[in-house]
Amino acid sequence: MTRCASFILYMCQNITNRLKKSDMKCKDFKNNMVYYIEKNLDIESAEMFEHHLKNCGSCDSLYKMFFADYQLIASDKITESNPFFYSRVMAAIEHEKETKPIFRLFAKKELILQFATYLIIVLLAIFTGYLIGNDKAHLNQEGLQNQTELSDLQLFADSHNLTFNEEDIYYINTNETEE
Amino acid sequence: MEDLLLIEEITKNKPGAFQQLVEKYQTLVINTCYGFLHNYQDAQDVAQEVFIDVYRSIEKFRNESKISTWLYRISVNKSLNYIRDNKKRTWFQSLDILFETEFKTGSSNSLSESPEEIIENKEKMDVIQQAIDKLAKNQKIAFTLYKYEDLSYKEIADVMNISISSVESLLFRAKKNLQKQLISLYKKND
Repeated sequence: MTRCASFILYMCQNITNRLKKSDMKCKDFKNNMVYYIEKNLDIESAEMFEHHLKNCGSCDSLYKMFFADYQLIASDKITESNPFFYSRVMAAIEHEKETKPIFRLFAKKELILQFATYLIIVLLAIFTGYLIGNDKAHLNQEGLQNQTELSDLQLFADSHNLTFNEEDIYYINTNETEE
Repeated sequence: MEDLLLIEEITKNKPGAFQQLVEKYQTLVINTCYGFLHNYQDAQDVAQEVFIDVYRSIEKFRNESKISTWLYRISVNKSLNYIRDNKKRTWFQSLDILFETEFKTGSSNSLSESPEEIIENKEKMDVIQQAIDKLAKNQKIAFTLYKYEDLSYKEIADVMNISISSVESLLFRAKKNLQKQLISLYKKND
């Protein structure tokens, strides 16, 4: 009787374990690939992962692709030293010592290009500003001139007790000729 | 030679001492920079700047941390600055960059690979590098030090001046994000 009970218990545990292993869904599998490669998963999760890997074709191909790519990172390293590197560093240090600090700022080609572009933009802005300002001053001057002319006429009209209207300039002139 | 002794000799201007330091640590510095920049020439340029900085400020080095930790910190900062400046510079980049023939040495199995395999791997690496570049700054630093330099969590924590648990969390998120990005790239390519 006890043998039978223990056998049933063993079978139940076995079935539960199998069910647990097959529990992992494709979404969970995809989320755990990197942790499986890095051996960050606990034993149970790793077993579930492996079980899913064996039984799901699409996840298997995805895993193979991801594994190959992830392994590439580890292989993409600089392992050889450059025998000329020290001389290169020393040459740069010597060059820096020789170059005056102010010129060091302009040592890089890109920096010069950047500086030149900024300078051109600033100069263009100044030039445009000057042009706009000049036009405005010119217009103001013209306006002033017109104003002076008008005020002369105003003075004339005032001295002769005439009502002066800007639009009636020709009218006043006609009156003058009549006199 | 012990690092401390080496530094002492460099500060005393002893001939050959600085050369020893450069030769001992050049692979470490170049490889770290390469992990961020993904270009051998750029990595060498930045590594050169790192050693110039070391030469200039060796007297400021405090013996509180290892010299390798100090070198990692300078390399990481210089590389990130280079990336930042390079982004700004892209507008000013001249056409000759288009014709620049990029070469890289040190790839562990480049000699045994066929040209097709090299091209295929280069394309794959570009995709992976794009995914790494999209990681948040701290995740990228932790992941690069972990993957390119095989540093332990403790060493990464020392370089980044953070706790080990923070490193664990950063790496966990970095791996997750990288996996997510690669899977979405596969979906796009299908």
